[in-house]
Amino acid sequence: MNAEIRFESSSDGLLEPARELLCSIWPLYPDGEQLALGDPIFSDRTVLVGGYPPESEESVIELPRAGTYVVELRYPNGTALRSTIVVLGGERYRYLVPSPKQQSFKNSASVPVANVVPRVLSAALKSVGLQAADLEIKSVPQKDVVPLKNLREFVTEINSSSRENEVIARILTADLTFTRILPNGLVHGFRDGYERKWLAISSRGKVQALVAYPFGWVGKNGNAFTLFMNRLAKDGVEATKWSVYLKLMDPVYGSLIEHLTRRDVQSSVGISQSLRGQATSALYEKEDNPFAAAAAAYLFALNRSDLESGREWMGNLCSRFEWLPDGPIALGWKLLRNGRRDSETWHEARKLFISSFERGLPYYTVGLHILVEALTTLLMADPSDKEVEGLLMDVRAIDVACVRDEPFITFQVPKFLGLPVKH
Amino acid sequence: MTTFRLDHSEGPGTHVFIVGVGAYPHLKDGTEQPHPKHREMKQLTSPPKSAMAMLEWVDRTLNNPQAPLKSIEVLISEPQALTYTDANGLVAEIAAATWNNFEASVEAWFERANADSDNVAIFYFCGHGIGDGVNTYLLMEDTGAKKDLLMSALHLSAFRVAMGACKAQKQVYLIDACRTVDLATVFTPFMPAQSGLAPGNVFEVFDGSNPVLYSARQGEQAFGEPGNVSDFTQALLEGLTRCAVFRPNGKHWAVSPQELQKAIAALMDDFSGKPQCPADGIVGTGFQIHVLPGPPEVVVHVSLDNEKANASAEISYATKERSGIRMDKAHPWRTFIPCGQCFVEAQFAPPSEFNTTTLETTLYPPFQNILLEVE
Repeated sequence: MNAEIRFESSSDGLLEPARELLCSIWPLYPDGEQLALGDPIFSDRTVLVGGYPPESEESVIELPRAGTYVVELRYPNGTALRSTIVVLGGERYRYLVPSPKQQSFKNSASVPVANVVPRVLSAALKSVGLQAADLEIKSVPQKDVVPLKNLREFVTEINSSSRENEVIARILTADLTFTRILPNGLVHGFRDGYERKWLAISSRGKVQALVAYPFGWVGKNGNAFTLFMNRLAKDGVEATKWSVYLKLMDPVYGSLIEHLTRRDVQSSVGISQSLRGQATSALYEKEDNPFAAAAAAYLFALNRSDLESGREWMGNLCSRFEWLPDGPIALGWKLLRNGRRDSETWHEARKLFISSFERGLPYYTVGLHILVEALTTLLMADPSDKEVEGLLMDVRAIDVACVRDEPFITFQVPKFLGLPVKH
Repeated sequence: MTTFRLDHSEGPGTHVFIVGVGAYPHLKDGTEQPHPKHREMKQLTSPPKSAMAMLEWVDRTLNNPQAPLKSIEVLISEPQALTYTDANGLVAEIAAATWNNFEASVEAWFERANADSDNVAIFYFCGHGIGDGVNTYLLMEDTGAKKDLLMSALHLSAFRVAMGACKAQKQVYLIDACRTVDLATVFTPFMPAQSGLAPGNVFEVFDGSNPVLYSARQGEQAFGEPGNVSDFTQALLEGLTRCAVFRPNGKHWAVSPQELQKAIAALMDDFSGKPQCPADGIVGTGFQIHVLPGPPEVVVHVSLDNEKANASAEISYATKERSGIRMDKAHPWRTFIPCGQCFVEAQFAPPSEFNTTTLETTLYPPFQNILLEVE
């Protein structure tokens, strides 16, 4: 056995779910009285760390020789870990990787969806006068398309809770943290139309957050998403303020979209081009997963790649999944970045942004940010464009109410409804 | 307009533009009638201190043989104008950071930077800032003097785009200001997007080679203790003088924007899992902006893998040059340690259920993490 490094999550907190970390390794050697770093042996190589079952061979990196190395690991949330290690010949060096967050979620709190309360209707619960729950999570279907200009009405309607929705969890007295594997199901024929679903998180009878839920994204073991939640206190004002994290359990795409949310394109590309990244992409392509395709489209749009190489594919994403707002945003951005003022591509990009506005809220937070930035760019180039100005006002109000660093749109309902209404 | 260290000699040089705004007469508690929509933004005491600290560092310490210092443009707003004596003995009262002064200064700075493609252009701002989710507005002294609150604010994106026309290939922007989203900007998109320069190409794509280093993430606040140098500027100056280095061609220790961003991210990490200054989206090691006179130090975060052991742990390090002990119970413990070989350990007063083995390691800048395994 050559010298190797095995990456393991440390016991302080679980690096959960498993994630692809980007690893760079440089040999370190003395240079006179100073130290010098050699050329990197690996740059941004993916290593799989954390999650259950424990780490596999995918968490091992083989080194060319024994020696002293500087190892840098970059987490999807933008933090980095860097240390110097000495690896002996024939040794498998155990490298402990702490959780990027001090706040960890205990795995024991996780309950498979099959064991949760039976599916009931919240309207029925209300009618029998049940106490407002400390925490309630519902799956809210969106029957019709909700253009962004009508979002306020849609959110107000959900908040009024007159609708009949599927209850995923209902807890009278919740703890400080909550974890739940989310129900999922196969969607046959995304191209034939799709009923969007939102996760509505309520506390004491009021909807606190709406999360764009890519229902139908199926993981290797069926359910693809876990909802993690925490709050600061069980009493007082803080008691109703839940922080919500919708985590994609797939380590490859989970890492990719987390990097993408921060617009860290280089890292996202690194993950997508790894062997596991390519295999996962191929799997999703085969399964016709439009959500994974949208993530890939954003990556393509933000990357400095040639427009023509992916234009047809992105165009297909827009036309085949007419309910998906993310496709036109991604293609529009690519066209805008490749166009000149008043060119044909410029006008096409403008049309695509308007089309995405009509389709509703994108699934990805990065998409919303791109939409804001694109409309801002269009308006900077042509300050007399009143239509774009109007769209930008609506989109910015939504952007303000969304959690910036969550990969999937996580919409803070009280904040949005508290915003002044545009006249 | 106030300019120090002006050098008209031929060849590449470094041109620095420093703006610090503490006095805002038209904001809360100012000396003039406050703007009716002042957003609770009030007078600041940290930015003038921070800008002065930056000015002193640039004037006295900045050393880049590839592009020697050739000008420092400065605007600082305090209730009483500040006077500064530069390393050449020039004494000047520093002009206030009003919009008109900014326009005059930025034009002069642009022209000087534009003279040579190998010039290094450094822009530093410390003061009030607000965001709209995409852009950041940097507020000059006379913010609020006109009906439109942001008439005297610099639109950072427009500024950067306008600087795309500048020949200086090496540019870095150091922005020490809040980026919290202001609702006024939400409903009045594209408010005066002024840069003080001729409008640039809005379609220009930045590839990360001329980065903006922010004191806060988008939508978040920046911090500083009143009357003291701000947190970001402290981290910036420590990075510049101690650790944000690489070794170009294996010769000397040079500071680059990229290494600076990593160092600042490490120095400002509050260990919440959400980086205050995310170090991402940057490419390569970047260009040299300063050369250290001697060997660097390393920002080190030492932590124990069992947090329960922390309360009774005495953590310490020892190198050839010096040793240090953790004085409080901060966990992780952040400290500077000289580059090179180092021993780190945690000791527990007997009787104790905990024990660690002394760790021998080699430290390399800009930052490193050390995890001590507790048995």
